[in-house]
Amino acid sequence: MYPAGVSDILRPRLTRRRLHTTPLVLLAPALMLLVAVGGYPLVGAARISLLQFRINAPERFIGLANYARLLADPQTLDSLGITAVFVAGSVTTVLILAYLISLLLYQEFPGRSLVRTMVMIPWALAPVVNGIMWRSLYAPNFGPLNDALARLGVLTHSVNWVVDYPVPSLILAYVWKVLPLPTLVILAGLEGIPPDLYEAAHVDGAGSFRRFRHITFPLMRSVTLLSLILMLVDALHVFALVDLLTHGGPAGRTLVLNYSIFRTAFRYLDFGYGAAMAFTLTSLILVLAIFYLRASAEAALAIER
Amino acid sequence: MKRARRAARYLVIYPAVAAVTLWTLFPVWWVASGSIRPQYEMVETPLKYLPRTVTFRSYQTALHDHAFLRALRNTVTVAGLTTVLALATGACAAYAFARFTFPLKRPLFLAIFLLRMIPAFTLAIPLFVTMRAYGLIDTITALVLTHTILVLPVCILIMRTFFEGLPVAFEEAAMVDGATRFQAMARIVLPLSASALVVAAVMSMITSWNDYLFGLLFTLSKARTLMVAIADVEGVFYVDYPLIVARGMIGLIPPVVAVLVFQRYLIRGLTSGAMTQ
Repeated sequence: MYPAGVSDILRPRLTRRRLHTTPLVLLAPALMLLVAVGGYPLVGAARISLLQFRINAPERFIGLANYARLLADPQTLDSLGITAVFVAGSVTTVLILAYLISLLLYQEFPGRSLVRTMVMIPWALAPVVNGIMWRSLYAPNFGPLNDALARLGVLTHSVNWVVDYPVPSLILAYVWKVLPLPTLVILAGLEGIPPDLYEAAHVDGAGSFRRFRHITFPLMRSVTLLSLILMLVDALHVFALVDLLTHGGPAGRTLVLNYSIFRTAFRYLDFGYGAAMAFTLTSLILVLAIFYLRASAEAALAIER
Repeated sequence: MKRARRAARYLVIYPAVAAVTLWTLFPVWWVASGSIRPQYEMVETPLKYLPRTVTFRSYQTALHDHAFLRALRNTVTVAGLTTVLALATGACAAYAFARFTFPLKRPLFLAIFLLRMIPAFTLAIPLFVTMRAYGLIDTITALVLTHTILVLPVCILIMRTFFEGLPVAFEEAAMVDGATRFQAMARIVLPLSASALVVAAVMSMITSWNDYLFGLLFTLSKARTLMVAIADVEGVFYVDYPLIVARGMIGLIPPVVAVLVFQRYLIRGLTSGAMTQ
């Protein structure tokens, strides 16, 4: 890990000296921030979820009543269903497109580095700007999506995408924005596969499909799993796009969990119930996070290989 | 033979590249071109994809709007302060994780890491209550603090990974010559880590610049951020379409330029930032 020599003789003295104070002093500022603005609110959210808590009204301890209400509320099941469709739809689409694009960018061709830079652009865009952008692309009368489909003869009349197909509209706009990161991670994974494996398979007479099936696919398992979990967590966090494109509508058809929490807490100002919803979503995500940690250890090995 | 095969390969590759280019750039092109055309050109049938008249009227209107300018200034301030705070505290913490052993190191690192996966609303609800109690709503401070939490875990991760890759010998040599640990870090480790610091800084700036959620929840007018201003299009949509997209473009240009300028560092940083050990 460290170069041998003088450093090996010196290191014990240097790292053990004032062992207890130096790292503590270094960590203190970051930890203070993380505890004050991260850890403390996390505990606060748990506390608020046990209260009847509306802004400008006295708070009252009601035990698990908010959670009981969450279980009984038909909106919960609706939101879960909408979230499941949105997450599954977007993650599947992103995974397929990310694979196709990274396989393309893995090839060598003149102009490749330019294309690699270009595919990063959506990553930099703010979700709000993405929302504004897709609003204009989906516009019913003068939007390019309707126009293009009409010119191709697919549509005979203009479609109000966001109203008639709210969830697919959200998915498409979301996929466009989040595609770069999984693409780059998968590309890094592809480039981590030693080329001699392909050469050996080629010598043995394996065609390109069989090389993909028996070398690329199994070796990419951990990297794929990692980006999958990252995408799942990300898709559960979707908020700005929903707020810009559909506001959870029409008629609650795009009320994903995160937007539902926003509406409960910051529109209806029901903080207790909102906190209970948020805490439930948090537990769901932390379960995913455990899988993520395990997957990422494997994936890091795969990329460094 | 070989030439024919290469030509055949390009016959597959370049149409695919064209498709990827169209998919990535068309949406951006559409809003970019919309922002420099007069309103009437946008409502013509059949739709025109190239502007015939180029005008920067919408940008002028946007940049003469005092509320919008204030939002822009707020965002620049918040993004700058967030980056400084996250980099300063993050670099120290990352150095501690990279070079020292201390009790609870591993669980602490995992806790920091898990923090970035927690839905923002879980933190926003209690933070809103606390900040309201301390009069921090609608202040720059509220935004800098919450944005720092948003970016700090990733900053620590990126810098720790980089510090671990640096040989300790340089610091040891400096310390043998009488430098303190902090001097060794400030004068030797940080200058060597410029590329990691750049990645962390660019990511922090973009995250803070692009944030909508905390800006929406924690500000009213005084500390309102650019993204909240851009998103505020209610009723304006059919009134002045070029203005809406011009405002959007003002929010779009800085992060996109930053990514294009620093893309080489970012690609490496992002892929390693997705991993953790």
